[in-house]
Amino acid sequence: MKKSIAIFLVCLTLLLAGCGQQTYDDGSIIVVIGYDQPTEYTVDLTKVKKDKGFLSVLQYLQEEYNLEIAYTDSGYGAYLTKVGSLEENPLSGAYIYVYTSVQSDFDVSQYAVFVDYKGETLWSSGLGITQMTIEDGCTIYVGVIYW
Amino acid sequence: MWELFIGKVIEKKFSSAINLAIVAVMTALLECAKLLLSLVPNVELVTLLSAVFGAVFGPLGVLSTLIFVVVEYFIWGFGTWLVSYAIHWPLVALTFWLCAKQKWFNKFWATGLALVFCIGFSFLTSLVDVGLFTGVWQDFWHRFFVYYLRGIVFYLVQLATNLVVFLSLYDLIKNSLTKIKTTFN
Repeated sequence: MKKSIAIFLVCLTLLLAGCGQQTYDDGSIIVVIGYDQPTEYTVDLTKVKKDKGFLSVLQYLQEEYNLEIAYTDSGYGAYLTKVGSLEENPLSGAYIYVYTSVQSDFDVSQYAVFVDYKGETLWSSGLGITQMTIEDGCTIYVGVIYW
Repeated sequence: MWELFIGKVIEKKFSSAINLAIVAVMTALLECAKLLLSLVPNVELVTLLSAVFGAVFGPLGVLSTLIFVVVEYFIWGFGTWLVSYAIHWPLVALTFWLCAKQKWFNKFWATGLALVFCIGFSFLTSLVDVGLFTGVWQDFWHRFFVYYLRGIVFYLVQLATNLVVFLSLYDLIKNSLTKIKTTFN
């Protein structure tokens, strides 16, 4: 029994470790923080670490532009609670929501929501921020949604 | 007629303080097991406990899974996942209640049945999340396929967990609970 549990734990660790890995190409992306007057950052991907998906991009913005971010981490990946002055507030039903222009990441569930930015329709991401695809030329929009 | 029958069943099965306490303890164990392992994605003991409670305590086990679903609602609020929960967990307990009466039903059958339920749960939750019951049917099966594939690692983890815990713990917990049950009768 001990042997089977040990094998199981090793397999579980490998599986879950594989979930968080995301690599991406060089180039640049646009990150938008969705205030009433949205703030736009153009991020050079050569300057960003390539290990935590969109979280790496946010951490780069934190270091370079003092963008305040807060998140909790669990086996499911990182969960954003604050980006700039956008902040989660469960009492009022406000949660951070991330939208993307990368089609392969679109949310395909019934909860999918959209935002228009400069004539482009961005979909809510169906993947967590550590698994999101970061590719040259894409736009990622961080906003707040009320449930 | 039906009211009389249901009334008799309730009177017989749920009226005593001991039965009430058993249901409360089983519900608490389900909730504790859920919360304790909630930090590890899809590693869970709720399937095992629902199955054993159903197998040993029959309708009391089914009732405890129903109350567990209601407690979940109070903790997390209403979501479509609650529909999946309300269907799945009582069905696990009910099925094990019926199967455990058969002489041929051993831990290997129990493990096989648990894995079938795990696969069923992954399909059910994906179908509900993609919009089966809310009429979001455009490109339904394409979206379902994408959604299911995105979660497949988590479903595999749940399958592996239940394979291990059913083979190693099902008989152990079932026999222990059966001994406890006989002391009440």
